[in-house]
Amino acid sequence: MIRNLKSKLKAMSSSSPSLNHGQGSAASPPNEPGSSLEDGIRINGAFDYVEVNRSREKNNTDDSDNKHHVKAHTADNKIHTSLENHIKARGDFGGQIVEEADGFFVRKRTIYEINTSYGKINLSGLMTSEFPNSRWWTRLNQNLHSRDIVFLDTETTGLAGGTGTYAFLIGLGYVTDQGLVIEQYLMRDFDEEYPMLQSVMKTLKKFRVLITFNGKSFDWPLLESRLVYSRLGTITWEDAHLDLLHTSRRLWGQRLESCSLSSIEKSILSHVREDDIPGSQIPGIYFDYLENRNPDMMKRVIQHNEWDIAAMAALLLHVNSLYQDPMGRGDAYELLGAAKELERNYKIQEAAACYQRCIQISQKHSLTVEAKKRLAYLKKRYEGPEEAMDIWIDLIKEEGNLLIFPLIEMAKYLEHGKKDFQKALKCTDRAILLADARSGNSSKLREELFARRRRLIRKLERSLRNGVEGFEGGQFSIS
Amino acid sequence: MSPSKKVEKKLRSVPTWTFHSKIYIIDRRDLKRGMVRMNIDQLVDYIRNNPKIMRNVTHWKEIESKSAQYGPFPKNLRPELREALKKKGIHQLYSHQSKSINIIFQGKNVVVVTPTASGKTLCYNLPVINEILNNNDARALYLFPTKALSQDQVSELHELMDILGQPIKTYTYDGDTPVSARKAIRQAGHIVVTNPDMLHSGIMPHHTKWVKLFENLKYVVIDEIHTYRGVFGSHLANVLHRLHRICKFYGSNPQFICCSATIANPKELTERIISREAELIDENGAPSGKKHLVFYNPPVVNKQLGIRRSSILEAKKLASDFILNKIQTILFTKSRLTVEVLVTYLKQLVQDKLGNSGTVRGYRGGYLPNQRREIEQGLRSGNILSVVSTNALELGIDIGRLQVCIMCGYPGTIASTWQQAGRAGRRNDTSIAIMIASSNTLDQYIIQHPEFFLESSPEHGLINPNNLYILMSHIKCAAFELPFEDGETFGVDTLEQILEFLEEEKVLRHVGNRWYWTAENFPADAVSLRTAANENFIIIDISEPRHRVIGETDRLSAPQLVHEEAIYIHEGIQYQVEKLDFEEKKAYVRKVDVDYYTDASLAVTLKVLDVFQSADENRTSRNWGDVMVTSLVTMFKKIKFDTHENLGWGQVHLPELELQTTAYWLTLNEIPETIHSQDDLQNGLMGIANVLGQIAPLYLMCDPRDIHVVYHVKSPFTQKPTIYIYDSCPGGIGFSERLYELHLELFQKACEIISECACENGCPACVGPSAEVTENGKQLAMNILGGILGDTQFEEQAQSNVIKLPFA
Repeated sequence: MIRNLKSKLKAMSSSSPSLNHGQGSAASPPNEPGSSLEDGIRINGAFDYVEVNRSREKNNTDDSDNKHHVKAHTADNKIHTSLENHIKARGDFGGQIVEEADGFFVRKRTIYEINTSYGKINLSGLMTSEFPNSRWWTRLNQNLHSRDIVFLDTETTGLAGGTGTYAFLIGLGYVTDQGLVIEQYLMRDFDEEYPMLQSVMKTLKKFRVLITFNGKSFDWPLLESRLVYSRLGTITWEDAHLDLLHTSRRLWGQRLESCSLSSIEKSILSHVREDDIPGSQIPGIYFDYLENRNPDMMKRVIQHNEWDIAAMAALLLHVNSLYQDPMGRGDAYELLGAAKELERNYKIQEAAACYQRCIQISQKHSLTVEAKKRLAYLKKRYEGPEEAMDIWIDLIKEEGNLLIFPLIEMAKYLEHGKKDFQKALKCTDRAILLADARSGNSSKLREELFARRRRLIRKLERSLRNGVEGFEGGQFSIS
Repeated sequence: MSPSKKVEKKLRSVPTWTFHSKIYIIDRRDLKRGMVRMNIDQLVDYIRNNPKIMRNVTHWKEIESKSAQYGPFPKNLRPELREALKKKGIHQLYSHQSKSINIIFQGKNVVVVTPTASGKTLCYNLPVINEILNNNDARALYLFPTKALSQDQVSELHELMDILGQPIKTYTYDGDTPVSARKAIRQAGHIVVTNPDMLHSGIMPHHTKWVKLFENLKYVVIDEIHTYRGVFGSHLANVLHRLHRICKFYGSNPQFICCSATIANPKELTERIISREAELIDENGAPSGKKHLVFYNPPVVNKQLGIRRSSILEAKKLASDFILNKIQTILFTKSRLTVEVLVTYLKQLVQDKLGNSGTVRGYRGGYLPNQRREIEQGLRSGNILSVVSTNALELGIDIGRLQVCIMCGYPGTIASTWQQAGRAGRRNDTSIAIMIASSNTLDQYIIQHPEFFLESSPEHGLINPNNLYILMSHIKCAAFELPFEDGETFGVDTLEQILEFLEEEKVLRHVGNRWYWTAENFPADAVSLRTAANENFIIIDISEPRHRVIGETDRLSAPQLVHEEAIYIHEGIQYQVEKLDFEEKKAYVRKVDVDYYTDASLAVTLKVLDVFQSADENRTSRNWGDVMVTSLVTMFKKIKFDTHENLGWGQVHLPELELQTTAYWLTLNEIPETIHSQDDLQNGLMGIANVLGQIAPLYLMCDPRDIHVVYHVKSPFTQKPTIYIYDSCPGGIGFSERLYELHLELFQKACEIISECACENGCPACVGPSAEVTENGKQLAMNILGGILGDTQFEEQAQSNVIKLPFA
């Protein structure tokens, strides 16, 4: 069995397509970093990281009072040697190498200072301590405080999920007096995962609100799975997790073809990334890096991750300003999206104003119709059915009488509100005609309409028998 | 009163004819009108005294009734549980239940072997519930081979919980579980009922979401463990290796409770699957009534051709006596097609004036779950009088207990035969099981040597967890779940070599002392625990304006079953396939009413990819290695109902299916002198292939469908006449290695069977009907075997008439 094993394995691999990933079968043997450094090492990248980051580290006060033992490797000679070895073995990322109790990893800190802009957004808005009225659109239970927020974005070894997918790069963003601080945690190999996660967890725990882009279904569950696996516990964010993807879909889902962060960045924030790496290539780049230890492509991944976090911050500011003054800033789509969200949070006046504005400025017919429809339902619910009538009539006329729902709504109002069964019947009949003309499977709708019709006729007959006023000799007239 | 008792009472209330004489004259019209009715004992007597039937019966075995044996309630069983059992009407435990619960309480793994419907579910439900009552955090995992069985179980558990009145949460977690419910199940389910496939691809790769379950896992229940043989069992053993690793990671060490039908090696199979020691409990305390086991060989209708009357037609005839007497009868057939043919026949029998024939139903894979539940329910309540099934009903789905079982063809293994026969038999009533042989070699051997069947032990459950394909797949899945550590084992001592290989393939990465998964994909998705084909075709009825899905079929069977123009029979209704959308995996069918069915023929080509081992011998060479088999359906025949004559044929245009597997092959170094032409060689090899295909499973103890035989008159690989036997499973399950060891022994046995067969020129029971292998087919096969075995061995074999089969 053992004698045959190799040949069998070879035979299998030649015929099994699923065994290989990436390209290049003739790869160099992988290094065993950490354990033996004497052979097979390639030195890549320049040896220039220490100065830059040491100064940043000194300036930073957050970490000095940190209970946990985080060392910047500068003083101790011995540690310095191991540091050099690390850079030799695993490449230089222009970041600081951190030693936790259980090992090393790389952390890169970048600061977007107060007046930096990202695309058309000036990040100084982040310095406002509270975002007034933000709870009306974030679905959080209170307004956002900028110092409570942590932005999170991860780069992973795959999109499939499950416990064999690793988050090799974890980017966190938070606001300090200096501006937006972006901390990126990188494991340069799998043995660095645990110390890296330890450190990430410490930072995360300082914040109360998590902001991500698609993090509700991807980044957070994946990171949580890694944390559980590493027995570092987890954080239950519940409502304190704002996923900007959902927010963006509400505002721009109808307008943009894709709601990916890069497309939003381009069309909403007017920021174009130069030389960005497509997300789909990232796992492959990391695996290549593990093989050849060349940090060049990885640096671009780190840049990509940094942009993602800065973009989230900018996006947050943009969305916030949009909600602060939707009438002034929003286009028709944004107004409709904002109005829906406001309505959902019972900001009725504001919502109605947004719908109205949307109707005014909308260039697109379907958008106008939806805004009118929503406005009418809103009025019906909060101001009484009569208030909505104008819009229903408007919709029926304007549309060339092809919409069914305004007819039904009118019929309801005429029947129950005005007790004008005759006109209600007329509306119902027209709705039935339209429903018949419409092909497809609207049989349930037709059944409902016929039920209404039968009821109306019954009521009409009864009222005629009782000689109720309001009908002139049984003549049916509709204005 | 239980539903089955009600039925019995209802049936008994019809006045039955009392017969004084042993000669019965029954007018079928009276039977049909319900004027006369016989009970089961009378019917057994009637058959025994009917010479027309009895002359085809080769053996009649009576198994005496047995009374119940009870054991005490285990001491540690909580009183509220005992109360709940009493409310359910259970005042005593059978001895096997009592014993197994006691052993489980001692902390040992057990395997309980008892026949169907002997109350084995209590053997695991009681200790599990008892543990949860003791400790509300405790968790249990139930594994059933099919979704249907898990549904059945959950409803039974719910019933017990209701009586108990305790908030113990039992959930099924499988592909049908709504996404919204999944989170709650992960957190709160005390008992999670699932199947190995879901454990493999839906639970273990996400173990961090199941922390509660894995940290507190006390019991793993594996029911019907005998079904995990061959490929499926080899996969399961590996899945459980992975489960052990995950449990160890979370600090739990669950106990295993397994149940098995009767097989030769339940303890050994269980221990191989769970890789732990297990205690065997094989006494059965449940009572059983008197049982008759009848061996029936259909009469020969054409002596030259060695053709016997069709087993389906015989089954129809025998079943009608029972069905007309309103006795619940189950019929087992070997294929989906024969299920439908037989249902069609029997429906005609029971049709009332309005054309209703709902008391006869079919049951097979491909019916939708709801339809199956309805049939199971109908059988329990007695509304359904007769069901025709494939081996789908062989497993422990609760269908109540029927009185008559008719097996249409030898089910293939001794274990299955007992399992199917066990479907008939009530506690206090007589029951009868009739096995009708078909014309194939194995059936004829069994029916003519009933003592062989009755005296041998049932088959061994064989698995090969170290099949390299299977092992490799699971090592990948395991590495995905948790990185391997240096020095870890995974059932094999070559783990490190495999890990190194996977590192070369860049699937794993060795850092520190661990091996990490370094690929983007999700390995469990690429591994199916059953067969290679897990993509189903759905069958859509377009007779009505509103299209309706009526069934499904697996990818491998689709080309044969639902090619265009095929007659697809579902619930006895004929449909013709109008369009097969191979890409979309949809077959569109329309109702038709024709007097024929279709049978598609399969063309197989085989290519040798690699030779693992080969040895040149005097006359032959033996080999085993990797082969690629491509199968293609090229044409179909239309066959008339009742007469089974050929009405015509049509072509099929479908893509080929490929299978890479291992094979054993024998090459003839020289063509024997007694073979004079290419045609003779062809016919002789065909005959040998036919015998081998039927006899090899006896040595391998597998289902005949697990292997295939192919011959080449001049193999493109060896340039010589060659006979191949290959595994149906991708990568092989170890059969070809075993055949390589057997080699000539196999051909000696083939030689024995052919020389012993009473036919003149070949029949389906040996080399195949002489119409196919020509008139001297039998002789040609013997000539070639002479060339293979050499004179001395050959003559020895030809003279000896004693058949020794490889059973211990």
